[in-house]
Amino acid sequence: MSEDVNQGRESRSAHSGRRNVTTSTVKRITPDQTDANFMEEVLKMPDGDKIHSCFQCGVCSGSCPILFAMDYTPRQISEMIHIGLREAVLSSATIWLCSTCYMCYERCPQGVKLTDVFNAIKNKAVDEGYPTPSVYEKMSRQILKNGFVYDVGSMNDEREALGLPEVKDVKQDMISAELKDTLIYKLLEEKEKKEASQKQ
Amino acid sequence: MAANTSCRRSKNEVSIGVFICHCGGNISDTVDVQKVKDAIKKLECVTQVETYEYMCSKPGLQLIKDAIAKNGVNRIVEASCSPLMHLNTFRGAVQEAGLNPYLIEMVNIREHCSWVHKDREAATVKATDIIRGAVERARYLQPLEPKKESVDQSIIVIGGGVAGIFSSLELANKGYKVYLVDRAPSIGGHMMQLSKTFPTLDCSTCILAPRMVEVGQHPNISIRTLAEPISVKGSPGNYEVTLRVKPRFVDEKNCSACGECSRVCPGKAPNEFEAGLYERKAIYIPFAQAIPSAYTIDAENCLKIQKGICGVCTKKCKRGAINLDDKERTETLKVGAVVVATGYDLMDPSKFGELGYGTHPDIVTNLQFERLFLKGLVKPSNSKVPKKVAFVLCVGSRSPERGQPYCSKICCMTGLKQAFLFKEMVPGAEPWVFYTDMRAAGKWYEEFYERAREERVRFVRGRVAEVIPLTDDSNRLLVRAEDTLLGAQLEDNFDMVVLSPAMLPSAGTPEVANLLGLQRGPDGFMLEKHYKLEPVDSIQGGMFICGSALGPKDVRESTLEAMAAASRVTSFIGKGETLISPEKATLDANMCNGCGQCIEICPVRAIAKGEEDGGKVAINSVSCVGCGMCIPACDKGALDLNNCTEQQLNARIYGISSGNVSPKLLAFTDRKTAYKAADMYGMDRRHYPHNVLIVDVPCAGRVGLKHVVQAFASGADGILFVEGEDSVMGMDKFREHVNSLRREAAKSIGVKAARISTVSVTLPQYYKLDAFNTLGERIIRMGPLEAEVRAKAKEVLKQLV
Amino acid sequence: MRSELVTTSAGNWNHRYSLFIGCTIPVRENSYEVSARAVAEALGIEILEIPSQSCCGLPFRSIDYNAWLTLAARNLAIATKSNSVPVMVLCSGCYKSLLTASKELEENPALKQNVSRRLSVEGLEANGRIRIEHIAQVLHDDYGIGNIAERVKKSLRNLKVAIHPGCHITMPSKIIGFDDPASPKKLNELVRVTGAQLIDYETKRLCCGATVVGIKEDVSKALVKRKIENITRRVDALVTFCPICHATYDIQQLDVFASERDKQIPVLHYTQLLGLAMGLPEEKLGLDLNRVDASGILAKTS
Repeated sequence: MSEDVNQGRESRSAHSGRRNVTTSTVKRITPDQTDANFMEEVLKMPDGDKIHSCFQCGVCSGSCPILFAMDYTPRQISEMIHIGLREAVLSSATIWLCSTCYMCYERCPQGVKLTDVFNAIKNKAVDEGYPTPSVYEKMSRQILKNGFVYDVGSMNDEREALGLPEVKDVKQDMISAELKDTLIYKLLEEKEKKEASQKQ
Repeated sequence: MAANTSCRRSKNEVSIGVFICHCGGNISDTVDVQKVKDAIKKLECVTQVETYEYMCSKPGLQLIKDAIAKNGVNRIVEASCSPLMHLNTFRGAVQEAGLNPYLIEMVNIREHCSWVHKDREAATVKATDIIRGAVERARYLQPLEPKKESVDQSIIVIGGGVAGIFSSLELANKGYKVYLVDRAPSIGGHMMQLSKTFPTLDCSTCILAPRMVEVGQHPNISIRTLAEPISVKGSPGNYEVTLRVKPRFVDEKNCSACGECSRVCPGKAPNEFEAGLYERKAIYIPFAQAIPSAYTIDAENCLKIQKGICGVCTKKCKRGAINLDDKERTETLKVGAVVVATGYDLMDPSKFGELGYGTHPDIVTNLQFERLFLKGLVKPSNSKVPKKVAFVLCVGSRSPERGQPYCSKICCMTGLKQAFLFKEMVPGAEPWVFYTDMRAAGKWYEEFYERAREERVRFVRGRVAEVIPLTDDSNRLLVRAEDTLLGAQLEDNFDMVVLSPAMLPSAGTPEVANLLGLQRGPDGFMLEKHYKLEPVDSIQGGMFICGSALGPKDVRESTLEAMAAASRVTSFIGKGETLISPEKATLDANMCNGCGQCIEICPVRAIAKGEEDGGKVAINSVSCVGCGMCIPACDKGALDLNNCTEQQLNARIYGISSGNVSPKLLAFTDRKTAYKAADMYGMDRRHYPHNVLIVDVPCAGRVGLKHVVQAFASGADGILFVEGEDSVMGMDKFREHVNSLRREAAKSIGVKAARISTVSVTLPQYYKLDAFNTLGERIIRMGPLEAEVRAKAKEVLKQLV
Repeated sequence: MRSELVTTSAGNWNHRYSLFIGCTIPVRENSYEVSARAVAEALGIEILEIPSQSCCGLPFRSIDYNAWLTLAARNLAIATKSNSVPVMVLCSGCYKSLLTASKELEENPALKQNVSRRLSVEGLEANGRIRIEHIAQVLHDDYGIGNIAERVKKSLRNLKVAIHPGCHITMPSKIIGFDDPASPKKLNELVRVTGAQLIDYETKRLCCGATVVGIKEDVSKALVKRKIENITRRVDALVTFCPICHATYDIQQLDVFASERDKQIPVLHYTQLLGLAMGLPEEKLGLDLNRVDASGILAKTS
């Protein structure tokens, strides 16, 4: 995913002033681009077990608040999983732009847990070193450093002034240990590697 | 070889021919039929073993006939698919060759073996054991003759919609007496609510109403409205159906349907015929063309009946047709056959809250839209004519997660029809149809789809995600869906939204099914006897089903099924005579001591104390359902069951248990439902361990301590009772019976309780037979029966026989 | 789903909950906790602390399922260890995270074992058998609307509000099971009991887009714009049940409507609204911390 997400690709018609909307295109798919095992892979991911039931009705896309900014609609991602466009799915902007509102999951007539399928695919993208939004790097550093995704301790003065109990006794060393061997570390490693190679 | 010598008969009397079907690979791809043949050849009394590609085909059947005619074979074992499929075919062949049709034993090595196992070696061993059990049983098969019974020449049709009406007319026109029963105040059903029917756009009322009049005037048809069946007794050809008839409070014959009463009535209620769009009075006629052509009082909303005030209608009626003291009554009808045509209802789309049904008056169902058509097509909210209407398909259908898994079949065509008619009726109309797939598979349907496009009906391929009433002054509705063909989210504003709710079996279908002893499928609709080959028969003799009671369909298909059911009824009733199965309980009066235990246990009260014979009992073979519960109940061994005699059952148990599968779990499976469920499990190609061997019995009650001991003595290592929840035993008696067997078996031979288990199953829940996996594996883990228990069983068996 | 010890007369309550606050509240939405504690105290709900609590883990589900589950399970374990009362969460995201984790742990013993292994370094054991309730659930299901009504001193009948239900408090409904996502009747009732007039609007179900703020901010801004423009000038406040939703609307409006200040709508935490209706003093409700100026509301509620 490039950091520049193509948001809606909108323009205005010079003639009528009406908004033009174009939709994304994949013109030609050849056997070297598809991986028939991808759907099996997704089926084994946590909550991925119903992806095969998708029959492309589009309720997920119809419910999605972020669709206008995505490169592929949620339903298209499901279709891409079905036909095996592995790299396109793992590098899509769609999966990262998902706001995890769970509307698609709630309304899917076939019980596809699409939000969590997206989560599992994001995990896979991290695992395989695909580019990830920088905010996750920040949050990963924070959780290891002080147990929250922000520097919560810095707010204790305000809390005290408000009569709220301090946030203290944060066991960041325990948390860091408990998160060992998760992709949080891998993500940070990847970022460091990238930065190191950029410096050269 | 035989541990129990009393099971053998003299070789001169019995000559068994065994026929093993390949079933075109369905069996032979998994079971090594040649190996089975070689093993079976070695069994005593087996004089001929054949294998063939398709035993049910003409050459296959000829093999059997030749064996009988030319080789002196006088007992047949047929090892192939489920007997529920082709037993009658094979019995017919046997009969043609001059042998009694009860001298064939058919066992299932397809649904219960080749389709549920993968391991070729294991499946082959199991098939051999199954056939060995059949061969042992075949020694004891006896010729039997069915009994002739007279058949009542009248029919009851339950449900007065299009299917009920047409089957009634067909039968009445052939000269039979028909009782047409409906719980509404008029016949006609949902079809009367429709405007026009697709794809020909006939006026629905115009094509049905004349038939309704015909029904009303037909000398052979008696209509009972406001009536429901409450009990059913008897046997095929001689049923007694009792109806509960609610009071109409209006004399049908006297009422002239003038409507004066209704004009002054203060009571109000939602109008069912108008699908809840408007109100009706407490005294009302559902629609003008009602048959019977008479008004009715809805007691719950009548002020006189509820509170003792008003009663103005009685004063207005010039014919004195109103009788507020009318009471409910019951009526018992004697009929030979039953036609079930109980129809459908639509799901309530409120369940899908995001589609807004109930939050705005202009979000309606397609049935409500039909009614609006006939009232000038104006919006319920402000009576203005809508210009832009969204037709939302698949509301609750094709939704295993949130609604019904099936497709309701008619919504696509209904949507097209309504869009088309809307376009015709309103200048500048803009119908938009939001669909998942456009299903137009019937005759002339695709052409109608094209016509709809010619009329500029617009289509969006995408299931609607939300319908949101706008909060501005426009009073319009926002519809949002993905246009999947573009890959873009589409939003537009409409004057009205028409939802297509899923078709459900009509309310009360489970109750009617239970009452009549009919089965329902996994979708909740009534279940036909065979999906392809007996599509309007039911599992009960003399009972037939047609119309949307069986599943979603349009008027044309309902009519087809109605006529088919009528035809089936006449085949059944036709000659006024029916044959009663000989598979009933029999009594050896010499052994009977009149203790009456069998009378207590019989679930259908078919046994009674005889008048003579010094208190000995007598069996009514028409009422007897052949369940066999009485046999183990008799301490004196005076009772037996034709075609599942003590000798036959013991031989089968011995034969199958003494085989090579080990450790083995013998599954006594009831013939009515559990066996069929096991067939469905096999048809689904689900798998279970090969050590589960099915032995069909009429019901679990047929199996007594003797058989349990026989099983363990002969080589079984575990016993499972699989019983349908609709068993004549009832689930409580079933569990009680198995518990007592467990106790007695533990006491007499010391077998662990965990080796005897139960599973109950319904046809819609055939997947409960996943228990075969858990219980089969449990026996494997527990290992073969302990040697001392086996020895004890053999010892005890000698004393019991 | 009721907690133990139910009585029907207010003032005789014996309800105790431990409080889980998550990341967003202490850093950006202390006003929510302030008002929640004030309301709880006034209703006689006792709040116990959960020591050493951390992030609920929800943001990390995008990175690693196991990281999320470990963080969530850790908090459940700490809560179980320190008290035997239900956990009350203020944040819908934390609610979904902890509730889902509790169910996954109990349904999947192998998973539970793996997580326990990770937590063992801290002497903790994974346990899903603990009740997690959103404060809305505590108030509606446990305390009861009728009892809340008895505590309303100042009916807010001059106030027109719109609810932003948010997403995680109801979805996925098969797991959360608290209220109907299509039409959240319980949340509506909670607002109506304050006497405020509830205004319906087209974008009610629209997600706040908080997750996207860090990824592509203008997407979130577009969603905020759509929501607020749908209700602006029709309501006096937008009521939220989640600190992240609150932060998104409260903070982003200043940017989105920087040159259209009259379109800005004050955003109230539900507990602020209820607190006003119960006659609690403004200082106790943290209203001055709200970024879109909420002082106009006080005029309508006095």
